[in-house]
Amino acid sequence: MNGLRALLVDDEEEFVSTLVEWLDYRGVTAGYAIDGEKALEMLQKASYDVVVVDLKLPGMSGVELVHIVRKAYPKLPIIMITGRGSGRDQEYEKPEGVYDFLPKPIDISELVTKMKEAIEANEHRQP
Amino acid sequence: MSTKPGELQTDAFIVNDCGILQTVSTFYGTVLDSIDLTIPPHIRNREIISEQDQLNGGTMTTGFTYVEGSPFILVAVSRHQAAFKHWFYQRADVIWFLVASIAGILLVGSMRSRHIVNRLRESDIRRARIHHNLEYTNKMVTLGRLAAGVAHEINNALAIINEKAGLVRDIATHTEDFPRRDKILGIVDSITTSVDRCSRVTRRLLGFGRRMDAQKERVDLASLVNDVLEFQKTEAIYRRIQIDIDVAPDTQSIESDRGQLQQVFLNLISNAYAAVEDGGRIDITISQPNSNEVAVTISDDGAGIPENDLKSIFEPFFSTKGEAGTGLGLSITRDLVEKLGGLIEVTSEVGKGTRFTVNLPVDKVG
Repeated sequence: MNGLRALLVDDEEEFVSTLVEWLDYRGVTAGYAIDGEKALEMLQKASYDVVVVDLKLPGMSGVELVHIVRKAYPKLPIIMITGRGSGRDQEYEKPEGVYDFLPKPIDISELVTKMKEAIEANEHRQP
Repeated sequence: MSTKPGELQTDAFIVNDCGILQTVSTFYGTVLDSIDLTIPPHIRNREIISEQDQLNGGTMTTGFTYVEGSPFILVAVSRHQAAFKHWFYQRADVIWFLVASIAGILLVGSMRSRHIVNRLRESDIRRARIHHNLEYTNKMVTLGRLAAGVAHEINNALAIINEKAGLVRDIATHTEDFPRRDKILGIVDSITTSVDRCSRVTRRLLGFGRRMDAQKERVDLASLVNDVLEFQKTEAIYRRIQIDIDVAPDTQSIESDRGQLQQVFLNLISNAYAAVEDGGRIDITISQPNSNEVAVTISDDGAGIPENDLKSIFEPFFSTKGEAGTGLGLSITRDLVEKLGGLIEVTSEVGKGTRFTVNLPVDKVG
């Protein structure tokens, strides 16, 4: 599944730009946006295989962005990331349509694996 | 004969031994009258003086002497009228009434005031307890939020460090003839290990802070107690305190308030730390005595609590730590446990140690 294209949405530019560069070494071509509005613009301009959204975003929140993306691009798999402790905690309810929650700091191998799983799960769900 | 009160009246006469007057008597009549005085028997050769109280309150002294060689007895009587007896009686009655009334008023007054003071004291203690409880909870919530805020900021910075290090590792790995690759990879590993260590701490802090607000959820007591212990791990290591935690297999998770349970066990475990000497021992067991409740015991091998203190240990403002304690820790702990539908008990033996047992319902009450 090489040549994967991902859109990362996170307001911490230093974090997200490094992640883009790092993903490149793992065979994932990624672009990034630092807020929800920019992310929606980028989704209009180019096609992506997966979107990675931070829970906490300035302006439009991560959850709001997820809702819009779900409606506009129902086939696009979504993964959420969060800096607020363990993302797998039940206290944070996973919004509908989000494949998984990953905690920061990100384990790159896990992220790539989750991206691939999310795409695969989506293909099975919508043949 | 008229007499004035307080006046002395006297009379002397002769009677025969049958009590018949032989001479005229002022008190008892004329010759041959019978007198109503009891003639004491066997008075021959003796003088007898008798004194008796009269009905009117005075005293009457009577002397009898036998006239030798005859059946006659010389009787002398003196009567002393009680002058102010009547007034004395009345005054005594008034004084008695006054004393009784004052005593009554004092008794009722003191009982009443003691009752009021007790009520006031109780309400003061209750108010202070609620106030402290509230303050304590607020403090914990504030502390939790503060910790969560700090942890979140640190976490974001850690994420960047982690990525930069990861990127360096990938660059070093994938670039051909990368100079001193092994050295660089070693350094990167060391950085990511430290990042992992930091992020474990921040996650724990975040979890702690966030859970202060939570109300009702399924709680695994073993992992909750372990979380609390993690926070005090350093003290245990420095003081060489041995902590053993024994969880009975198949212990259910309970439906409860995580934040409040954390406070309960933080208090009890902190107390156990304070009780044990360096190199001491704390044993924690978690078990399920029946299908409805889970029991947690925290035992220390500290100095123990004397029986007298043990009764007051859950009372507000009772402290054995002197200035160091507010005396509210265990009172708040008991309040919290009871609020969660549980029960807390303590047993202790001086010189051997103390054991707290907390029983909590599997399903939250209320």
